[in-house]
Amino acid sequence: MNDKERYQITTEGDRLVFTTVFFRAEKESMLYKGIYTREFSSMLFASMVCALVYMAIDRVNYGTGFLHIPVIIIVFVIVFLGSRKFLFCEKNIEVIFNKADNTVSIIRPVFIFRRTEKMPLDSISSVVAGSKKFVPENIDGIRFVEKISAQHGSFVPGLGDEEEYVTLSLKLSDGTERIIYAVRTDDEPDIPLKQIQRFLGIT
Amino acid sequence: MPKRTDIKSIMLIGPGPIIIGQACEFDYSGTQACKALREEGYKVILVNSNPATIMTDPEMADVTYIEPLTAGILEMIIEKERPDAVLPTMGGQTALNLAVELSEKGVLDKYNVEMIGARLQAIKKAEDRQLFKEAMTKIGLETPKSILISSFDEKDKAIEHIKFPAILRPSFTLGGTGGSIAYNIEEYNANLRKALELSPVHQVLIEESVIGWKEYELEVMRDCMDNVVIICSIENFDPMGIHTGDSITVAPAQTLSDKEYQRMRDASIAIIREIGVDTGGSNIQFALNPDDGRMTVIEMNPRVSRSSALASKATGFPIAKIAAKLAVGLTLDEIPNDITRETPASFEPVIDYVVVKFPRFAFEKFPEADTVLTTQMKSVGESMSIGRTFKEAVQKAIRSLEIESYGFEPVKADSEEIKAKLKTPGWERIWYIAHSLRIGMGIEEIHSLTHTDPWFLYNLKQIIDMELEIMAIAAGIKKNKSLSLAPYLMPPDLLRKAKEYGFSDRRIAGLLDIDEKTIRQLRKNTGINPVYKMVDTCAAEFKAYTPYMYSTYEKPFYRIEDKKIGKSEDKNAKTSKAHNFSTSNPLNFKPQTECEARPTDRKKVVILGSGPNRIGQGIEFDYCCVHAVFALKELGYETIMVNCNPETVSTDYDTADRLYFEPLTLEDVLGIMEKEKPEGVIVQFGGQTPLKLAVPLEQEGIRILGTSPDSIDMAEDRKRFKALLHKLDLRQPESGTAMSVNEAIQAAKGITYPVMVRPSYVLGGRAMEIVYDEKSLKEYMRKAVKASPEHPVLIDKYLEDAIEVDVDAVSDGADVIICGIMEHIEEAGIHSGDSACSLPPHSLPAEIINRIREHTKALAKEINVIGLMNIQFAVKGHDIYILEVNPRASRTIPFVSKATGVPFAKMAAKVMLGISLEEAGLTSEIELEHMAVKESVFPFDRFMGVDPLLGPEMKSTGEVMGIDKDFGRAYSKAQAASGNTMPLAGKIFISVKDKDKQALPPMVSKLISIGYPVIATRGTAAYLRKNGIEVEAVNKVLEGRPHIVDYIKNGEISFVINTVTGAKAQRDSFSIRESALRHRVTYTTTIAGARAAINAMELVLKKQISIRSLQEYHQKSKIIKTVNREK
Repeated sequence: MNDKERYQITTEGDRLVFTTVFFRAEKESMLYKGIYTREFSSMLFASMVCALVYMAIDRVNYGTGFLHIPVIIIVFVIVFLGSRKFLFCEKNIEVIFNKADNTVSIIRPVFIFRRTEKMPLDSISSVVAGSKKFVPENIDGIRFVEKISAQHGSFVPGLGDEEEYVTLSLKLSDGTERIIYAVRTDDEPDIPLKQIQRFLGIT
Repeated sequence: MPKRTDIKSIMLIGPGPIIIGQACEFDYSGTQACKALREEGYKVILVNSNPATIMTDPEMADVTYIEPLTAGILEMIIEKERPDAVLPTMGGQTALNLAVELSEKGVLDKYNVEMIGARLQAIKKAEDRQLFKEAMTKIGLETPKSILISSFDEKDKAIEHIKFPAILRPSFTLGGTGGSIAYNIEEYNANLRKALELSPVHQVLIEESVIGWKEYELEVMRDCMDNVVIICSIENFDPMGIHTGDSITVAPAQTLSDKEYQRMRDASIAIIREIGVDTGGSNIQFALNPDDGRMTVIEMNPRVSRSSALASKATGFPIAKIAAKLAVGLTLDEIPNDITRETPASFEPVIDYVVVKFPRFAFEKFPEADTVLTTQMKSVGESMSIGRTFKEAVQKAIRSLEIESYGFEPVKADSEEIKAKLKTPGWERIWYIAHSLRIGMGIEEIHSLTHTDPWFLYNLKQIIDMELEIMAIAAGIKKNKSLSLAPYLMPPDLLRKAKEYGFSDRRIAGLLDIDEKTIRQLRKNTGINPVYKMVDTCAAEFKAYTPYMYSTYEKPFYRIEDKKIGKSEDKNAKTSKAHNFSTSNPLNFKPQTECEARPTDRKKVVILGSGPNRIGQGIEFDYCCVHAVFALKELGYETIMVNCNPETVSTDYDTADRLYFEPLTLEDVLGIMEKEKPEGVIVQFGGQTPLKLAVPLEQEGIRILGTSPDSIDMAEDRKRFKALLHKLDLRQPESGTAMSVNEAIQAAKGITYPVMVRPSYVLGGRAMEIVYDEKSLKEYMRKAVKASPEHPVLIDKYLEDAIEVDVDAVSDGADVIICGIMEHIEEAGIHSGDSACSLPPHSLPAEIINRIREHTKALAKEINVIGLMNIQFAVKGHDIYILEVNPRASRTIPFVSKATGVPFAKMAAKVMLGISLEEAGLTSEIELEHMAVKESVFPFDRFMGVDPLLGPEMKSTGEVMGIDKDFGRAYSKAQAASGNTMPLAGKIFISVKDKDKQALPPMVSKLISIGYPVIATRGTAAYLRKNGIEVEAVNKVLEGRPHIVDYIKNGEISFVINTVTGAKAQRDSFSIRESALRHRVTYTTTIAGARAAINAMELVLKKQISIRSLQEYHQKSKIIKTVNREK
């Protein structure tokens, strides 16, 4: 799955598996926007591990020497790559529609774990595409925050910006809904509505 | 740093009774301290004289003493319990002064007791005006120019240096007692004398006036490792010159620049270090000159204070609990924050809302009192409210006060009067400010008159502008005579904005001249509902675990437009363009704001609290509410507390499972009900406040638990109640109703004098008077009331010389158990809240007591009481009259519970949830082996010029309890605890009205026989001489010098017995009572009170006062085997 392929759909017999990393239709954190990327977080983590390794070597060898530097570099590279792949990996949602046992499982990431919500397939009353738009409402409030941050010599990126997501959600018979796909409308996103509706036999 | 292990037991000194300047915030802090210290494994020995507190519950401390707070009694307790340490910083100024006294007398050294929380040196440095000034100068901070004087002779030297106006601040007093502003030499001399008398160390600071400067407070905490945190900044709406307890205050500070705040913060840290408060919290007050930014330090309280309680509730940071833990050696970083569970106490609270505290006054009870606000505190309670903006919070605070104000209603005054009201601070000044804006006065002019910061004035102007916008619609409605269309003419976006500004439905309805319900319906139709936000100490940076909520109509930063595509979903589409109001689809205007309430699925009950403290409704009701919470928790219910009083234990975040800090109005309570959907609501424990919501809530479909609103009505409606008594063949004093003066005269003739008259439309005994003849009745009708068919006057037979009896009972609908039968010391006619009483009765015969029991049970069953009830009886000879039945918790419940050891409020709460009395473990009445006496405490010393005579109108602010083996000693202890110590020697002065004279001879004989010389006014002396008793005669004030007031001033009188009747006699003898009050001479104004006092004096002379803990008393109480239940 690359940037253009924002989701994956695989069908195996009675199973349809929908996977995507785009499932949060929420206004992004203003303060940390663009800072805590996977790379930056992995770098911080790798640096911390390197520091520990350095101290450990130092303690064992009663002093530091030239060899430490390549060891630390190797550790950094390994930890950086490892944590980027496993610890700070892209969190995806997996939705498994299983006609064989009449269930739908929504598997969401929770920190480094995953939580599964399982429900009967027929509890889905419809699959709906829609949009969720965050429109600035309290202009005075936004201006006030901007003024205060300016007084402190900083600015809050994205504050006051309009954000719109195209969403795909499962509407359940109890009236609740689960958003399984949400993507910014900066370009023209492709929504797998028909594929899922067809599989489920819902129009 | 680990907690100290060298101390095992700690003595905690409580604050004593509720008085002006020291209210139930110290019950809150004491309770928290008890819990915190026991959590750390220390044995807690608690001493307090106020039974209406949670801290004196026997379960709260290991050993609890309800004893007078005097150094002598404390020494006895120390000698018996041998604590390792004493913690004096939780009990207000009373506890701090006592600890200093104990230390200076060498008691602490003698028993090797360490003072923790604040060292003696630190207390002295903070409290002694001169030492404090020197300390501030040392660290480079400015204090107002001042001179400390210790005698009246130094007055001229001081005023030459300071100039007028001058502020007088007596040392070591609480709530600014004795403090004043002198504008001229005459005021200066008079006020200085008073201030010198009131300072326990006879020191007064004459200080440069900084009136009009901005006033701020910072709450600071420091640990033994020198870590300091600022908990909260508080800004006073009212400028300097008004006691901070009487000021409207706002947290966090709103008008400080960051630079000014940082300066203040740095100064606070430097101050707490310099003063040497090394383990605990302090409150530091600053004044800031708005013209040049000059900052001065006003004072520091090296203890938990009223502001600490406010800051705790405002931020969610439990200052008292943390201070107690710091006192035993823990450091800020070692104490976890209960709300976030992941940040330590060293993490400074951050708040993302605005808190407004509004003082509650009781001047209507003291019409003679000076209502101008000065440096001496006069308010009796306070409300606090939380909103997202100052505008929202201040309007919520106003409706929390329960003074029939729901916003900034117009005042009736011309512009000159308004200007005068703006210039002279009074409790209602903010309404005058609002009105001056309404009539077009400019911000600058108002600022120049009030010195209120323009930022606040602009906010008030926005509120008034909003009012005008709404009123423009109202004008359109009236013009078109289209009242039925009124709701549709109010644009939803305007309604939403008004709600964001904190307007109540009732105020909006009032402006539109329609009813509140219509506005509520319109709000619901247009989806304008409050959301609830959490007080989380960290401005949402961490997850909060304690659901402590407030409502808001804040405008969200972003509106979410949720659009669905597809046939069935199209009809639900919501777009931003759909703001125009449409009757066919009113739901199309709906900005979404996150609601953090997240109600649970548990079975739950809402308990409505009692709102701000006031005379007639105080801490006793909060005690009952807290017990209801405890009971329901035991039964597995989720408890939801609604209250707006920041001083109370009920508004502590860890008392109920969920806390809503909200006004107790129908609108606000309904909002919570709709969100939480509880099984029912308890209105029986919070006094009149929730009780008056019972019927409206029931009409909205909310289930009222316990006694039904119809049963409550049966007891309150005069006609229904009369019929009920008739049915049960019970007696009631004869009564009548009058719509005019003539009708009143006829009714009184039929009833026969004396009669008790009162308007039907007031509560708490207001404007009630005992009238002895037709002339006085006419005078009363002319002056006091305007009778009309809408407002009739109620006339009852006054039962002279009757003994009043209060009975508390609990019923589950089948069984009735008497909690306690209390005999009043003062005769019927004195408000029951002001009268002292004894439990069990000290003079009533058993036969009368048994009949009272029977009557109580019959009434409880007939009214179908489920829960608590209180009945007031009057016993005259062998006749028993029913005066009043209240099917709710009464203010005597905590006293009865402490005396008997049975938590009746808790039992009653269980009963209201369907548990029988038997299942609750209450099967029979408790028989006591000891005597308990409740005495009331009055604020007369705060209102000079007010006559301390007792009457049918309640005037007391608090109560104390005396407990001992017999009535005399218990009464004596109660008197000592209320500050009226029984004299062991000295002259007794007697001046009584004619009617009381016949009771005198045996009393005076007794006094003389036990060694007290008696002095009396000529009439009284002559009567006694006629009865064979020789006493010294003295002039009345009008009879020439030397007169009795001279004797009192010279310290020759140790006890005053003074009863009067009639306005003239009252006026003539006023100076006697006033000088007794001012010179702290024990006095009584009733003959029954005198009789009890003389008995107590006799017993105290013969027998030694003893001390025993509450736990020891309760162990000794045995249960009566005779079952009083009727099945």
